[in-house]
Amino acid sequence: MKTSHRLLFLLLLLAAIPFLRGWSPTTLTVRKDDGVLRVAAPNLRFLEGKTLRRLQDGAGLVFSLQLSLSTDQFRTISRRQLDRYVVSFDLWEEKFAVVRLGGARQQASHLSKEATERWMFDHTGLPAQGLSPDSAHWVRAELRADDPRDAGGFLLDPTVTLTRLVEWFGRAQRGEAERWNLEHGPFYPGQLQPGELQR
Amino acid sequence: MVAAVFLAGFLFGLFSARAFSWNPSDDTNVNSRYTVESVEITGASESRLSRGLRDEIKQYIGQRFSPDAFARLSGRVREELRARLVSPKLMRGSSPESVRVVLDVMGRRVNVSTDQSRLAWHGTQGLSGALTLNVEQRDKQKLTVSGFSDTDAHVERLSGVSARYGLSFLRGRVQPAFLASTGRAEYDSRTRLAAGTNELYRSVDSFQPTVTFIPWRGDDREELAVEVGMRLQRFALMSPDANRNVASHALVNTLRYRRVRGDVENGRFTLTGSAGLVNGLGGDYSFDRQELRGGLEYHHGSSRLTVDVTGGRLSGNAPFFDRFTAGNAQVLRGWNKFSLAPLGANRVTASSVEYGHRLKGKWEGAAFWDAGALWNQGQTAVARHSAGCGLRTRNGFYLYMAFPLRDSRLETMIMTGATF
Repeated sequence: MKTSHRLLFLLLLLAAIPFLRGWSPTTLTVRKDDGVLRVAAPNLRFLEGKTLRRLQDGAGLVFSLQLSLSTDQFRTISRRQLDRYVVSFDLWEEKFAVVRLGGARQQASHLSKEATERWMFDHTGLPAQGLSPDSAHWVRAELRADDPRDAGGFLLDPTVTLTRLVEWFGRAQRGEAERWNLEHGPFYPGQLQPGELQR
Repeated sequence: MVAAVFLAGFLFGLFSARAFSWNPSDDTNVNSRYTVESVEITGASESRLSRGLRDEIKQYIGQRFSPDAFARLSGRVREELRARLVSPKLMRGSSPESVRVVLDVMGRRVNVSTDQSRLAWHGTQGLSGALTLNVEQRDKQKLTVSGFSDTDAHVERLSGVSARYGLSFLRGRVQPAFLASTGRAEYDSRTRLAAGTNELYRSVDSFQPTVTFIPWRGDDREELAVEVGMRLQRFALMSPDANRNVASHALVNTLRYRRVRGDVENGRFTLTGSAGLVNGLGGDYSFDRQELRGGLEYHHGSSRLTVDVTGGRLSGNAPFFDRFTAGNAQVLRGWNKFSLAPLGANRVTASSVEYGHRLKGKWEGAAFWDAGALWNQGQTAVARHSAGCGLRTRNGFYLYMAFPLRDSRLETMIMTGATF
């Protein structure tokens, strides 16, 4: 290979580096906080593309995040938690705001895009009490952004039951690009220290 | 048969229900603290909206932005403009803490529909129907292909196919179009008995080039249209001389006016009028035909009032196709058109008053009174009346019972149908 060709190849590689960021694996990490199992997806970017454009157009979008815990690689689900969030984008401050719906309503504003993504994962957890510390466990995080045409008004109803939400969540939706699934396991609850991330 | 038509109307109503409009509530959207500086519409002219809706849009200016209200507003704009999608977009206003709302109207680039398709059943005339397929490139061109079997509009039953291709220029102000159709004619026994030699035809082929001009459009769905054209027709006669064809060529000119004010919630007023002139150009028929139609419809809340008037005059020798009829599903409902004039007539005057009241959901109860006369020049016009009641939906389904008012025994005529 001529020197000029090598140089050109190197330049192309350098130019491609910014685009390689999205290739990094989207992993799920688990930690235990005050008796609650929490997950994080540091590489998952879901406020992007069409979703981001809709937020920047002033729309409020509903995100549903479901955590499932299993001791048999998801043949059965032993614990489940599903939370709904409304994310909107402040046009003047160019910051995000997020509201967690349901009985324990919480909200945050003036967040960056990454902080908003992190906030949603930080506020959904599974109770860790009663888990066998030495048994292998698997955890799955499923996130979907809801198209207002598909979602019913019941999503905003604070009294809606978890059963109905889970049933609705399991249905296929039009835009599969608006759905993200991540899994982690096996891990052992006894080996998780408070606040410690296990990869 | 009635049950089948009823079921078809019911299914149509079920499946044409509007999609549920939904948006996260106001307090979850951080932009709801900003004030609306302006509301703009892109992708369509605002003048196509009703005045009521335009006034309502103005009321949002100066208010806090409400995602819920604008989602509902978008739905109403979409409905009035018959657009594929209307999505509200928010942009920064000219001053801090203010926002501009842009309602982005996305029309269908190519719209395929079966509008104007219909199925109807009439107590004496039997079944009529048309299956129409429209392929439209909005504001540019439109192709309509239809298969039909119609026994209501003319003396004869015409069954056949038609195709119409239209173009649109200068924002719809000039619309040339070509219509071609071929149909086979069938006659009621009373028409066969009354008809003279060489009067009945077995089939008719038509070709009709027209140009429609819209010289004036008002600011609130107000429009005046002038259609000028020529109709070339060829009839294959049912005469002992086999395969004898005759022709009827005519200039066809129509003036139409339409005015719509308000909306249903606050009271909508629709006024329509048309004047049609058909002048024979030559061929085997020679005639002049004039027809005037006027319509008034007032919707307010759950009530609807409709008034229609028709008058027509025909001179010379015209084919059945151009003669007037009454006693069908449009004029003098309840009467039997073959008893009134089995060959049609050359004079008509008629009016109809109908009141409808919304019952539940899309259903509406209706009652009407029809009056009119159908006669031939030189005869005495006899005024006839009929009354009736029925059910209908906004989607086009109807089921009416009509009673001709006369001294003899009471006869009931059932009419039902649906548009798709």
